[in-house]
Amino acid sequence: MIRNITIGQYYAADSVVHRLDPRVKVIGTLVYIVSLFLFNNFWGYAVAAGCFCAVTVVSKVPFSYIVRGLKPVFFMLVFTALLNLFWTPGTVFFQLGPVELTWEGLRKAFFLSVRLIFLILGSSLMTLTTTPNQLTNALEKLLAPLCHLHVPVHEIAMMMSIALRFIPILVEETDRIMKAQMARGADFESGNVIQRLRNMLPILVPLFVSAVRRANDLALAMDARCYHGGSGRTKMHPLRYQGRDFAAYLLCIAYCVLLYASVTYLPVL
Amino acid sequence: MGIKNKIIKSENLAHEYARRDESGDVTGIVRALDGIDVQIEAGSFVAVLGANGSGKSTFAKHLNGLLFPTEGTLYIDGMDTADSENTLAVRQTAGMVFQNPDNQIIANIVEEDVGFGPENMGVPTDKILKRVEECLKETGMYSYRRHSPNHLSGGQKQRVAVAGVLAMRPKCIILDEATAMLDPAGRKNVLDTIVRLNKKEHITVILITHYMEEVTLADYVYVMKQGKVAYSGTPGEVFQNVGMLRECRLEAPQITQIAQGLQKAGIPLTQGVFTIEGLAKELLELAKKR
Amino acid sequence: MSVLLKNVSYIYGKGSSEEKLALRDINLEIRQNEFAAVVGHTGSGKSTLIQLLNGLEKAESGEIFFHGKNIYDKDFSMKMLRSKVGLVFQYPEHQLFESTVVKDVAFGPSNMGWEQLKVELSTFGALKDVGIGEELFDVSPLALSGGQKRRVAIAGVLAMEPEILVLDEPMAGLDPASRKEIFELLKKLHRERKITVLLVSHSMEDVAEYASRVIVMNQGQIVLDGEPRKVFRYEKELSKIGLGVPQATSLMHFLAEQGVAVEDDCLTVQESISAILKWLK
Repeated sequence: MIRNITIGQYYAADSVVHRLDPRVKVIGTLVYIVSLFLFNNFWGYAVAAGCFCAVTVVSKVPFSYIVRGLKPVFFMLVFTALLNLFWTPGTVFFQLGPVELTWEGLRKAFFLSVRLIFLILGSSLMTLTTTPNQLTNALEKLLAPLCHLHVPVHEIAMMMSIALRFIPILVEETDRIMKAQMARGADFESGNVIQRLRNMLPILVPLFVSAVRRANDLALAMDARCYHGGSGRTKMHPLRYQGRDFAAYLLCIAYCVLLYASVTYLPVL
Repeated sequence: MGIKNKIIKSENLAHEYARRDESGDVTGIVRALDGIDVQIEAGSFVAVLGANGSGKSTFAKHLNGLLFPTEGTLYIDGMDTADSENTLAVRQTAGMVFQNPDNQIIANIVEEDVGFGPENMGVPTDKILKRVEECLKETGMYSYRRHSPNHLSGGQKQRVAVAGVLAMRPKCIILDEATAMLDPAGRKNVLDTIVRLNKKEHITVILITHYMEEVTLADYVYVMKQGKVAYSGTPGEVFQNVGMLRECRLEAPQITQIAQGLQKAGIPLTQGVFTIEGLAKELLELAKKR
Repeated sequence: MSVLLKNVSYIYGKGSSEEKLALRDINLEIRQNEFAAVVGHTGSGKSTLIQLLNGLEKAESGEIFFHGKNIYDKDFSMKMLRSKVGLVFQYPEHQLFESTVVKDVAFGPSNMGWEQLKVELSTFGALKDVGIGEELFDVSPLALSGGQKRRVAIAGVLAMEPEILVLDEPMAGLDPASRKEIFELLKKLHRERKITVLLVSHSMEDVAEYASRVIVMNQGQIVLDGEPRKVFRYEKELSKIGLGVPQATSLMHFLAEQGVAVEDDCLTVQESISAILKWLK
């Protein structure tokens, strides 16, 4: 049933991309995403696609895995594409009654879809090669300067990490409570919206009680292990940049330069 | 007893809390612990028995500095737990393993969870790595170091929790019904680990349980009832006291019951036999003499 | 005959990376008015097995018959099955949700679409059976003690008036006296109401004392099935799959192995004592 949902899909493999410092991957992905919105040109997309493919090959993550990330947003993609296709004014090349297709619309729909696709592919590649833990660590470190503005960065990172740990447990628990209530004849499928919501109470109440109990237990367990916030804390795996991380940053810059050059100097397509 | 080091010493320890109704008004005072006097030697293996709600868990939380006495005093390795300056040192000295394996593992990867305590204590990185490796090997979980805790069995999770406590270099480990949710195989693995730590590393063990068979491992037993120590003695003495056990909603293990039944029928057995091999050997020798 | 499983197989996590054959080719008959115990280590398939019995999980292949009717037939009523085969999950107190004890116990019977009077009668009857006094009827179930919560949760299933009561480790986490209370309750229901009881347990001592049949599972298969006295003869085989026998039985096996001529199929403390006395005299 509900336990089939997977969250934080990480693809375990031994590759340079996996070994990179997570900060590099977060920043690299951000640069990549931003770059996608800075041009409107086929050459640019060719460069973006080429670089993406190169990184994917190096990462050893199968393409099929990455493409799977597109499934949930497929309808959104088609919808935005159609919206742009039909409602962009310009040179008409096809007409059927009130429906008009323009060259400009076709171009815009294409660019927008490609952008969205690359955006999703790029971020899936990051989550596939970075464990949620590393990601949390990277964010904690990258956002550390915000501490001076009294943002509780360590606490936020700790909360994210605990949430990641407990989501699968609570999903399993939901499954179990659901079954237990079904064994008592509960019906979650029939009735109108309000009835259905009311029918959820036998699941939601125990789930809430259990979540509170777990939170209490966990707080005690953390206290018992001398947890007292972020001050005076050391790290078992502190993030330290290695040679390959600097190389990756250089490649990132090289990508930007290449993109800029291709968009500026090659004939416009 | 001599002048050996007392790692735990309580004097008239009591804990009260107010019971409140829905609007938050106090409807009564519950005395969860009531005048506990206990002295435990460093390096010993002590079991605390008692029915559900007898105050065992409240006592455990005091030993770990998670609760503070409302009356009386409690010293852990000479430190008064009521003094808030001692709290972190108390928690580090007397580490605690809780009942529910799921609700005490904090990190998403086994080795990072074991490192959690030392990280909080500010241990330098290279030392954390060494300790984590040692403790995972000690508990037999080293090959799982990169696993997610979600894919481990209950017994394996509890051994990770034990490793997490060990990594803080405690002098004493408290197991608060830590085997209650495990199956027999998981329980045995956790107990074997604990016994080894007690014998080899001389870590004091406080085992809180209501599984009677586990008590036979202990040097000394405290039986709790309604917040008080109802009885204390060696496992043999405790199991001999059938009336007291029944009153405390407990029961001796089958093998002890058999030995007692035989004694009643006039078979001269030594007091406090409670392993299958032990009883069988005595019986075989008796048979030879006859 | 009440429940019959024919060549039942079940695949856990089908289609995911953790796909595993949880049950393979199970043939089993739960007879009317039995008191049977299912034993097996974690992951042996026993939890899946009991969830198949009331249709919460569906078999991958094979057939299940309830009173001779195939439960996978289109016109078979799952609702009826779930009331006739009452399933008590492990730590059932975690599913209590209503504001009062009575309302929570009445949840099952109300879902059956019974008349108000029948719902009330079965609710109060079930609470009486499990020994929850009237003074607790309007209390929030969350305010009860651990043992009381457990009994209220069991009452919630009993109130549906099942013919078969299936329980997954109903004694987990309870002290010896509370365990005994739960067992005495099951014994009473079995004897007086003629309810068929099927329970999962890790305690061989309890199984030996109360059950008339032991079903041993390992790696998704039934490896032993019979009276406790017969099943517990196989101590070596059982220990190989992570299970044991009652201490009383184990002691007699140990003595027999040393060449002593004793009755070695004792199940309880009393039986062992008399067997040893007989040998020594």
